Amino acid sequence: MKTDKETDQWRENWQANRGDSLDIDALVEQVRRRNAREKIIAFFEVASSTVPIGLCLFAITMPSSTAYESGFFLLLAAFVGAFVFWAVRQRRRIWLKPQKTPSELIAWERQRLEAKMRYWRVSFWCVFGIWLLLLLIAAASLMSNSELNRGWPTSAIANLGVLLATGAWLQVVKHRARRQLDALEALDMNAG
Amino acid sequence: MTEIDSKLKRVLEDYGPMLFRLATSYEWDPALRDDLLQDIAFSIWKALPTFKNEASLKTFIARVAHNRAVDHVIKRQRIADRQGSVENAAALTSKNNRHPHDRIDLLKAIRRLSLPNRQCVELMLEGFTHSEIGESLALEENTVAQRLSRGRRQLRAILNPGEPE
Repeated sequence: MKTDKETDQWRENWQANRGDSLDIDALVEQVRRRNAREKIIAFFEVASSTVPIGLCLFAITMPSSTAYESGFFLLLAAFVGAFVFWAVRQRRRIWLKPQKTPSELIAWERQRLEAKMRYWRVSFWCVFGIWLLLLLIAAASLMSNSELNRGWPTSAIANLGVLLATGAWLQVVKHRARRQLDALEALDMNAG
Repeated sequence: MTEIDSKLKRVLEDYGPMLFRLATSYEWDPALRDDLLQDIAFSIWKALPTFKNEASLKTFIARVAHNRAVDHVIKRQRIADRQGSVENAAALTSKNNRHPHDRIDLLKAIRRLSLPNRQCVELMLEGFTHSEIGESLALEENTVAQRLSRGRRQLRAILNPGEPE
């Protein structure tokens, strides 16, 4: 019965650590604060999508907007709505993960990292699409030489900055995610 | 304080030491250990409304806590005691502990087990039966027995390096 005695001794040693420094009231308070913080973040996420959609719809209703402009803003509003819906859905999928074994959790983390890279890749190409559209409208407005359409070239230039920043960030995310994926390989071997 | 906050408080009063030991076994650094403990408490808070009394509360809490702890290991890509230090481990000793060095050795040894074996061994040390471990980790009892046997063997080899198995 050597094993039982040994196990009992291990159990006694293990349970001797009663977590004296554990402050339950402080922990409950931290959880409450964290919940409040997450609600605020969720609110800002919804607000950040509602504002641009609202501005797009406002631009469409303006009497001075042309058919081209109305079409562009309608497309932009639909795109922002679809993109936010997709992003929120991705996040919920991550939060609502069911019970998993270590290997499954590692596979899940791998999926999460791949989804993150996909998210930024999609973002980059969407920003590129918007910039291209702005460029085409700017070129068309310059050719028509209309006074009203002078804002388009400025928007195209400003969006070039957004495009370059998104491209640079995509490279950072890809580099980090690949390093993490390599580390997960090692962890997966340990999980067995 | 809402009803769910009160429930969480009761859970932490009953299972706090178990959760503390679990967090300590996954994270040496006291600051990061406290973060992990907070993550676990938050996960339990979110999961509590889904508890349906089909399983015991103890296994339910253990399941949520282990999932969160494994998630933490994955996020940090830490394996066993790669980042652990003896100085941080020394901070784990407390006044009422009769064998502080034994406990640190045991803790260090547990951290060197593979994740699946470690989970089973930890729950065994918490006093869980094979069927409770199986319920907590969604494993067959046979698998639990195999992992415990392997885990015990590994643990013995780490704690008593010179002794034959």
